[in-house]
Amino acid sequence: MRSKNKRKYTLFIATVIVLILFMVPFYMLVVNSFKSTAEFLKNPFALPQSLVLDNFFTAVERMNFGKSLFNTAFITVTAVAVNMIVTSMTGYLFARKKWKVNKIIFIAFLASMVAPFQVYMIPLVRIYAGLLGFSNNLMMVAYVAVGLNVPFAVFLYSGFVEGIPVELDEAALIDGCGFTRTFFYIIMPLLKPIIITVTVFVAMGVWNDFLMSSLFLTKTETKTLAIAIKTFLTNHSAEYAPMMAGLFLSVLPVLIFYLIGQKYIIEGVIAGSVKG
Amino acid sequence: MQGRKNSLSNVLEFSLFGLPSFVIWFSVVIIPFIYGLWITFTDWNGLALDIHFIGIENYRHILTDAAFLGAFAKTVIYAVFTVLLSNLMGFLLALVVTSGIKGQNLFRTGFFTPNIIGGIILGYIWNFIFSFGLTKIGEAAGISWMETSWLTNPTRALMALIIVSAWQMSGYLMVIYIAGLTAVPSELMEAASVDGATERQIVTQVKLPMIRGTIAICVFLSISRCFMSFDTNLSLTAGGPYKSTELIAYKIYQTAFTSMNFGEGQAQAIVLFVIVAVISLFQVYYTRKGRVDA
Amino acid sequence: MKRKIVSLLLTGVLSASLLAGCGANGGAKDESGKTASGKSGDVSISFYTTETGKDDMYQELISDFESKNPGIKVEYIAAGDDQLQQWMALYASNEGPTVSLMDPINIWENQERMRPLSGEAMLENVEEASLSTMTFNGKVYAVPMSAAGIGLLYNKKVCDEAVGGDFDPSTIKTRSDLKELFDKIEATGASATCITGVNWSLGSHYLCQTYGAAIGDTKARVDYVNSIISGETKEINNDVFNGFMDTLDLLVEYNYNKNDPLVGDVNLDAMALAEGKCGTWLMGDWAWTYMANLVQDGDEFGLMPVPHNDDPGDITNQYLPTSYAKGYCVDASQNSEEQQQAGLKFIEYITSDSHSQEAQAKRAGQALPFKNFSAEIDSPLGKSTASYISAGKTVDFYGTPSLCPSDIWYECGAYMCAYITGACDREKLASDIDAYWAAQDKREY
Repeated sequence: MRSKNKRKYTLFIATVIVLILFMVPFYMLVVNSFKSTAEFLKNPFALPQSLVLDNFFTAVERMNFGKSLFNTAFITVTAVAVNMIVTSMTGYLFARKKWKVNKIIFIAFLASMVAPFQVYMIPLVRIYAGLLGFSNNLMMVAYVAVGLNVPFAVFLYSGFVEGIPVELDEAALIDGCGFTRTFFYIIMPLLKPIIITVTVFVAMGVWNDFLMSSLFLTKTETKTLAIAIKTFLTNHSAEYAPMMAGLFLSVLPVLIFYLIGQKYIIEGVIAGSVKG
Repeated sequence: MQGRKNSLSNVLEFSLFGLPSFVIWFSVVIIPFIYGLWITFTDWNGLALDIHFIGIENYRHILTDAAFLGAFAKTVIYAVFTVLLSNLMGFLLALVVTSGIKGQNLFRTGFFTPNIIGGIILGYIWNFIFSFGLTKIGEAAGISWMETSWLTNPTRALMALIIVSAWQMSGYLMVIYIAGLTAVPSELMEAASVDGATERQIVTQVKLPMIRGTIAICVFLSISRCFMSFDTNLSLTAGGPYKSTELIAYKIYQTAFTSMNFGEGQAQAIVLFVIVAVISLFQVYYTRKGRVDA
Repeated sequence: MKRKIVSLLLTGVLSASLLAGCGANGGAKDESGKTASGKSGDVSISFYTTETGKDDMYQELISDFESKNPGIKVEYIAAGDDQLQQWMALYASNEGPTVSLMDPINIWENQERMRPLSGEAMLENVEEASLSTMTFNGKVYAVPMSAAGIGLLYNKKVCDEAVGGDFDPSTIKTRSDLKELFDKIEATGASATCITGVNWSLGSHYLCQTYGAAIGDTKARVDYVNSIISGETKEINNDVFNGFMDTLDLLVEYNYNKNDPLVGDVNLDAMALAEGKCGTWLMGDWAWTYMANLVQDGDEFGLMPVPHNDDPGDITNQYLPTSYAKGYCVDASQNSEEQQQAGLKFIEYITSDSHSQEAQAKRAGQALPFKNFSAEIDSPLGKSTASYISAGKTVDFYGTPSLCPSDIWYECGAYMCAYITGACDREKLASDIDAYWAAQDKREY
């Protein structure tokens, strides 16, 4: 018993050390948010000499923070919500119905995940912004974000559904539930951990996305946070200190979202084990 | 009669469950992709008003271009190490944070934070660590090879790229491994433990086989992310020192947007796509085939 | 219960933001509708700049311009470090910027979309010497932004101490003079010089001098480059190339970053020069943007050309290469005549309005090549360039927009970086650069 405790203790210490390694860049982000750029360059690792909030004010002002935050949140929430509904359904369909057409689409999804975005980004812009006139349209960016994340999400959902015993579906069928009802009433509640996982990934990807959204959003009033942060880049260099502050502010919402999501993943786990 | 009713409901089910995803994806990925494919047969520079058809000239040039092939070889080396390291780390981290360890919530969040900060900025931060942080430690400790930046030596720069990518990706994969591990029925583990299995045996003989599907997912995701790796490459090494860490996605970007050979850049991307698609489809097919169904 | 509340809240937030989003979109649509169908005097144009990090300055200038030119609205679009990609995306969206501030090579490559500016009244205000880089086939396609001096920056305090008196950069007429100065600086304990080991500095600013004034006039330069492209000339046999590389060897030997030549970071190197840890620095007058916050009052800095041989009579050792690295051009392919006219007005404002000139001189600290320019330049480096210009002691860096391809900084910059670390010798360097040229199209005058 004692040795087991000791092992647990060592494991805990080891994990803490690994955690510290993982947190170094985050530490630098936070610490340097409070420094001047000159102080940052002198020693980016040291603690700030004084707690100056100037960088945060600069960041909020120069990034047009309120508007950018709203745009980012709007795109992310829309994309995540639409993506969650359509892809979880498709994932279920693909896991349960091994039709030929489903298999073909599934393979096409997987294949498209390894297509470099550069192959279709300029054509994408030419078609939707050039031809159809959807540049600087937040809805358009959300739509593209949904599309780009379809394969990934379907892939994760179908993989997860395959782990759910098919007997559950059969039992529901006997109880008179159709395919659709089975999904929404029986399966969807079980998907909670993976929904949170996918949501975190998609939300994060969309929130931080720069390349795709920068192709569509060029006006000041449609910029997202990831685009707005570029205001601190100068030719060949950057105003590091306010950039760090701006970045810190931009990642904060995702961090909070992830923390809340974590709680739900764990809750889902407990619910699952109780049922089991 | 029965058959027709069945097929009608199949069509309905497909339209409701499959079609929306398919249509959105098709319009966003496939239509532009086909357009992009056409560009690979032209000499378009990305801006010119006229586009000239030049046949397979771009492809012919790529396959004899030493710089492109070199970038490809480097990407393979990078991908092998990064995939192995990140999956190993991701799995171990997932094991630890699902073992009921104290503060597992905090750990999960902590290990994931590298992903919350985008790749570009992370690259800049790591750039400072490798160039000016580790060198200070090297000077203080008098370790001569640590006194110069990792990023100015071709071999060490590639290692730095692998380390940063593996470090970032392992937290990402950890989240998927957690989802997989929590789906393993706890009775199985209890039964094994009652039968006297050690912790190691439970991991290798119960957990690992049960999450083969998850492993397939994670390996696939990490392979594709390695071959697409761009952000970190740009901000950590920018292909340097002297183009020695130019990975394939970065090379494509440079060809298309710095040298303004847009058609050729597109063609490089298509070649990359075909190779990676073949590798990863094989990988997914084989890993999934051997999956133990729960 | 708690969970229900959370999900209810989420749903509420979601639908609210959806509604708000629709509202926002609707609003945007109305706005653009207004400009299209608004009163005939209203015209909206866009301004794309690749001169980054000056967003607040440009935005302030735009609102000043708008107040002086009622009826014209200017949309401000700034590039990141991805200037060409962003430009392509704008053109792909059919939103080609009315006015773009671009590198001359990019304007040249894209000239079919551009409006020739020859004959426009505003050109009369531009120094003739600065227009050659913006002229293709006898037509002017852009107005230069500023004159950038490229060379060795020096910290006067360090150099004064080294020479034991008042350091005069004009005494450095040859490579040997430079070596002597370097030895004297090293004797004071400071590093003699500093190279920032980055591709754009070495590949563009340094290497391209070997195709520049030392070769001859514009025609001679183009002929020289074309003979490399055709394979007739090998750079390893060229005296100018070897002369510049000999000087580079000297700089490498006395480099502040000698232990790790590629660790270069402009901010840290700027700090080294500002603090006197090194006496000189291979860069250009734009470096003031990195240095301005670091220097102490009373410290003096200046700029001098890089001597590339030992001939004291060779004027290219004493004339400062000035580059007109960016120019304002007007798009004619996706902008209406009305928008183009407004774009011309905007360029005229930016280049000739005294408020605009003052703002630019203050911020960038570079000399502006405009005849009515009278604003005070804060930057000692910019003043240094201006003094070379007023003394007539400058040479045009390129002379023609198409001399060096747009990716030379990246491709050949890598070879140059390898060279300064000793990873390759000069022969390999020269043959790699020859091979790079061999894949290029022939250059035109």
